[in-house]
Amino acid sequence: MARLGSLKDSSLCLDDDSGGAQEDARCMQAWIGGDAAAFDLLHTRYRDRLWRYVRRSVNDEEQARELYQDVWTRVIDRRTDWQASGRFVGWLFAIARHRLIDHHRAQDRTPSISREIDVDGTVDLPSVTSIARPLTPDRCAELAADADRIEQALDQLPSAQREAVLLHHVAGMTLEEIGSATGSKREAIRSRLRYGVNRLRQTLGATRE
Amino acid sequence: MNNPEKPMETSGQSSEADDITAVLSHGVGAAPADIDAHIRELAHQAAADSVSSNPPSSDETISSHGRWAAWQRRLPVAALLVVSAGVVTQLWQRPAEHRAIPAQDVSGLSVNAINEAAQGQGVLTERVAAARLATPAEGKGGAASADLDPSARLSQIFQTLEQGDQLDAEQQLIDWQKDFPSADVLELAARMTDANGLARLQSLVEKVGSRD
Repeated sequence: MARLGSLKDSSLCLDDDSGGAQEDARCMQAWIGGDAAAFDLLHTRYRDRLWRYVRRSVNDEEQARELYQDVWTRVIDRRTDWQASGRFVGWLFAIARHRLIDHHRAQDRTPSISREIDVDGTVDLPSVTSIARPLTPDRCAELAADADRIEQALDQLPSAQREAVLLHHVAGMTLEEIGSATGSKREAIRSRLRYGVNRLRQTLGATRE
Repeated sequence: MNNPEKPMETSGQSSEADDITAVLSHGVGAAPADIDAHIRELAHQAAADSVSSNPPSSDETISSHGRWAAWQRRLPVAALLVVSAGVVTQLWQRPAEHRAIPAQDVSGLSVNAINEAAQGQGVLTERVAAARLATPAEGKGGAASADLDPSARLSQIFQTLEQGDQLDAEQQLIDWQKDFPSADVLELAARMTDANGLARLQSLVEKVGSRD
């Protein structure tokens, strides 16, 4: 088993994304084989992305902290279940995704069916067929100080769109990585992002009444 | 924003959607350091345990172990075993889109529970995702939804289009969309038709959407 403990320079795992999946796999194999430093490289690479995804997925910071810790604990407990043929980032965020689903179910916050349907414009929300313009820099600055409004806007999204938006725009995942985490097709993810971003722009771009 | 992979190719309206990335990422902050320190302790202990108690003999040991990989090797090609909480369900020769549904019916497991059982292993991911799409949406139960057959619905829509009845086809799509979001209808269709078929359905979705 190759050991990565001597690779204190994190560049091996943290460089650009080309070959990133392979380096992740090498880190996982080394960690499972007993190299603690290899885990540190993976952890450094993904901790902030995972935290942003979890934090934006729940409205309470303490709950987010608990969930974040729980996801990493599951990674440790289930490390031998990981398969080298799959992307580590997909595996990691699949664990996070399932943990969040369980959490929302326990909190009885599973998005209602009306939210699932409203993508079709059948409820009283702006139609997704009207294209919203990007938010202006001034509007972005206003929203930065209004966390509640951002959370409300996210809560209005159908769960699939919300998930895609958070994984892409908050966790920084590529469409392929989202596919590996959710099992969804690339075009479906792209479609959800298109609808989700449009809906967010419509909701966040509207002035507060 | 410090995403390693910059969000891209998303909106179709703006090539970047940087505005959404900026708004959603603001104020979230860095991962909690105290938890990270604890996690690293646990991970280091796990690594030490691996060395002392169960040293892997080769890369093959790691890449192939895991109970799901073992199950896969034991199973006939046409069979799928769903194992969770002591429940075992065998599914034989079913369309891929429907394999996980009887797993629900027979085992009583939710899709998420089945997904949980296969979590991260890529064994059931596609099938469970398909089942999620093929299963009537939560809260929409009842006779009308219970007998939905996505494949049949898709065929019926195409047949209606070929007969030149555009309005009827649109109504069939609208009925379908009452049970599934448009994105999921398209995702489901992508599993059952070719690029031309998907393009036809996409066009129909856009026409229906433009009339809302």
